[in-house]
Amino acid sequence: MLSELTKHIDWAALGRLRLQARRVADGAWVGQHQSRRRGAGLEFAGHRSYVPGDDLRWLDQRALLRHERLLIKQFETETERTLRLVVDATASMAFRSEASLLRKLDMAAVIAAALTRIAVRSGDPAGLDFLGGTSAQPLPVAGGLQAFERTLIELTRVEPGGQVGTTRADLERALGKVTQRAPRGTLIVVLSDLLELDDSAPEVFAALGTGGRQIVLVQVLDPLEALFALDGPVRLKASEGSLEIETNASLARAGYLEALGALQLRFREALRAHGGELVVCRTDEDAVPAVRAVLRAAEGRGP
Amino acid sequence: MSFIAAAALAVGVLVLAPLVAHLLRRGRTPERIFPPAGLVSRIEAHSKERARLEDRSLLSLRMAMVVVLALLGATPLVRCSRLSVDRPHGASVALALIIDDSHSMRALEPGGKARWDSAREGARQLLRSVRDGDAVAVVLAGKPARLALSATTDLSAAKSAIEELRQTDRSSDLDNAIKLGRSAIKNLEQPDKKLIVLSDLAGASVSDVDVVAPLENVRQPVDDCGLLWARRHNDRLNVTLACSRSATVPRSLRVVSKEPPESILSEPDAMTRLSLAPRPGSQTLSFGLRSGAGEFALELTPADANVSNDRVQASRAGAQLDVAVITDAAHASVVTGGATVIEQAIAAVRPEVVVRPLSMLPDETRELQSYAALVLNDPPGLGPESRGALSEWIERGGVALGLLGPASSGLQLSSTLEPFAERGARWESTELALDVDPSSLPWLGPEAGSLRALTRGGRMRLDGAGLPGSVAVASWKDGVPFILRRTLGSGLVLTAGLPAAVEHSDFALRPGFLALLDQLLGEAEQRRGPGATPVGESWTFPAAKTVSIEGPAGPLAVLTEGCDAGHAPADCTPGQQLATPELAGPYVITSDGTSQARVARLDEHEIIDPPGTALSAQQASVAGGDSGAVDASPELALALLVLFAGELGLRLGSEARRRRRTARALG
Repeated sequence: MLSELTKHIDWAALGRLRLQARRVADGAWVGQHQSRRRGAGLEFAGHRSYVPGDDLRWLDQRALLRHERLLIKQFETETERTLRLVVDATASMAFRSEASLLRKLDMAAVIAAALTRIAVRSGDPAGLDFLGGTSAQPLPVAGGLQAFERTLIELTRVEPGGQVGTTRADLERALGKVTQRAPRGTLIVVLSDLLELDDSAPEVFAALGTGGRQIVLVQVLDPLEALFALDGPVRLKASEGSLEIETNASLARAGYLEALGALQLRFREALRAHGGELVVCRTDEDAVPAVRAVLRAAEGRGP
Repeated sequence: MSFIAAAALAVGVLVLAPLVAHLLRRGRTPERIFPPAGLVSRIEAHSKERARLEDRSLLSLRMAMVVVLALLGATPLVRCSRLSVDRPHGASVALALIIDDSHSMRALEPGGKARWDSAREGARQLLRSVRDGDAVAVVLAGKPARLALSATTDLSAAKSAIEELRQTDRSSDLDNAIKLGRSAIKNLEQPDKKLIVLSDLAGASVSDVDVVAPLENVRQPVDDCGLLWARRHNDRLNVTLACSRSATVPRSLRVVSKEPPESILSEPDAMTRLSLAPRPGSQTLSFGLRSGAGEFALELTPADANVSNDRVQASRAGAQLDVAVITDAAHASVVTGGATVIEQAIAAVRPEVVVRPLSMLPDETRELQSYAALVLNDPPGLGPESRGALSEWIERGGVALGLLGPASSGLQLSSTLEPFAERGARWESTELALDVDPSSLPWLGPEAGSLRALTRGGRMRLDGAGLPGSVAVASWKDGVPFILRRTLGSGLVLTAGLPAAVEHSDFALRPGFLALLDQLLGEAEQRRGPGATPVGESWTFPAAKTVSIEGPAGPLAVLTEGCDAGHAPADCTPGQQLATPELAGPYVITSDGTSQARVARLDEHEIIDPPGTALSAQQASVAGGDSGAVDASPELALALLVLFAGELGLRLGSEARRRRRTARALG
């Protein structure tokens, strides 16, 4: 069946992604991985802010009386934990500047594959969803090496295209499918550039972290996007939509970096409010630190 | 202009193409995909301005490239105003460059450029058009004509020879230079042979069909007066100056010295008041000197086209002046006995002069070499050998006075009166006592008034007997010339229409005769006197002596003669030392501890003679002339390469700057 499914796959490219995923996963693998889930359990693991939808049984009444804040008690337990990967495959993820060897989608695929391998080796099931993209086939949650191989196949086959999230409703509709497929306790890792989205995107993404799910958002940026290393007059065209900006890059750099920082801050604040975290990586950098940051964020130790 | 040249030049219209492209492109900034474009602020106006500024340099380069390409396509059909060697048969050429390094080439053209610089630049231009296989010889036309470079196909040697040439104050020897140039290339294999004269042709004209004189600009007449020499003799200062025919501005003379003029001149006002009319030819002025006057120079003002001859250092006369007198003692003596009247007159005028009576005129020039002046009384004609020797001696600076009488009118076969007069001179017997017009010879001073009632038995009629270049400087009252003056080479010939024999006239007993002899000796002193030689005439010194010479431009090289192939055996003395003054002015020669002053003097013809002429038709056909077709392809191709390199550099520089900024931004 697998062979039937993948007979048109570029196995050379797949092999490359596999090797990259193994390298990144092995690099990020630090000792025996413990799949941790915070929630109901025996060992107290700390507090977090209440968000609508939390089980009121874990509301810390003492803390409410003492601090007048709604805090949820968390307990640590060792259990099977589902990994749900959401890869942004919209048109903007096809972008690659001269300073990088990888497209943003390629980098996202490497991180996603590495996380899948880590999850599989830990005995956790993993699933895959896409935002936009052509030939994109979501994978249901499954465990074992076969799940890893299927993930590789889909990550290799997907081509960037389309757009998602130009309006809040559009974005909610796209992410709603993910929410439906992710039961409580699922770790949702979204890999996206978080660009060309509606202004409400931070809140919509943060909402994935409700209902007992944990959200880690990985923003994949090209170095040109991260640093805006352009000079002189230039006409910039968005990859999704028809937006065109004519500007002097040298003069506009500071403003751009400030706007990008503000965007990331908005995402970070929204995610942290739901126990989530934002991890930023660049396509010209090694993927290992990004994967480690995701793992740390998943363990509640920050990015 | 041919169709090909016109078509190639029409490509130049494409110079507008980059401009059109620029105009179309102007305002359109480079585009690129940038997903977070929504986070970038708009700065539109400034970006357009930058685009225009950056493109302008590239636009200029590209337009220049199109123009150069068009010119490159049109060459070698493009004409320009530089000299080049014309090749009517397309074959290799043997070229003799005859460059005039005489004093007249120091004059400035109306444009302010020296004639000498124009001549050298012309030689350089001609050498630039010389190709492999062509032969070049370089001949210098300063007297004596010299071969600066034997015919060679080594172009670099020819260029070096041109660069090493130095301007001199020599007189011109163009005829011999042309002969030398012709012989230098005569036996070469190149089918086309060209003689190109780069000269002002002063006092000459080029009429040979194979000789081209392309530089018309150096042949423009100039306003020039110059000082030839200033000679001190006892308490007198004799100054000789010459002016060109184009001289228009009156000149003044002034003393240049550390001492005031009052301590040098006995009558300083005489010089201060003097205003010299620009009279063509030479004239000698005499001033009184104070005893004990120091060294000084004289200067002509205002400056003219040739400032190098406006100043001269006053030099002292030499110690000894030898004068030859050739006369029949039986007819030129007085009843009181003793020496002839000529010898006595010379002794009366210049006691220091050594007079040597000769029985007959020598047949060889070298026998006359030791004399500065010669007085020939009533010669019965001159034979060919004597004429040749006398003429050559005069051309080298000798001064001759011919006193023609009845014996000179009865010429024998093959005898003539040259260089004094034509055969047409005839003795006219008359019983009348004829007067010389005093106003016709003011140069003789007040003594001219003594020449009245001169004739006793007749006179020599010199009307119609003047040789080419002769000028009547004194006339009888009836207008018949009495004295003719003729410049021959560096020397001077004076011809008087009366003999010294008292039986025919007491002319030799008049004060005017003494004044004439004084003039003669003054001229001789200046031209052939001890220590005064023409520029370019070599000084020789014995082999064993240690000689050093200090000249106007520093030490003068003293060479030892080796009698190699370059010298004729008859002229060569092994070990003899030679020095050739190239510049006019005083020289101090130190030999074995004793010092001697010598003067290298200018030839007055270098100032007086106007530029010559050349046939313009010959210029165009033989040398390419001033407007020859020139292949400028190498220069244009080089310019095109430079422009391409410039564009590449501009692009690389722009890219490097962009990369540096990117690297800085990336940390």
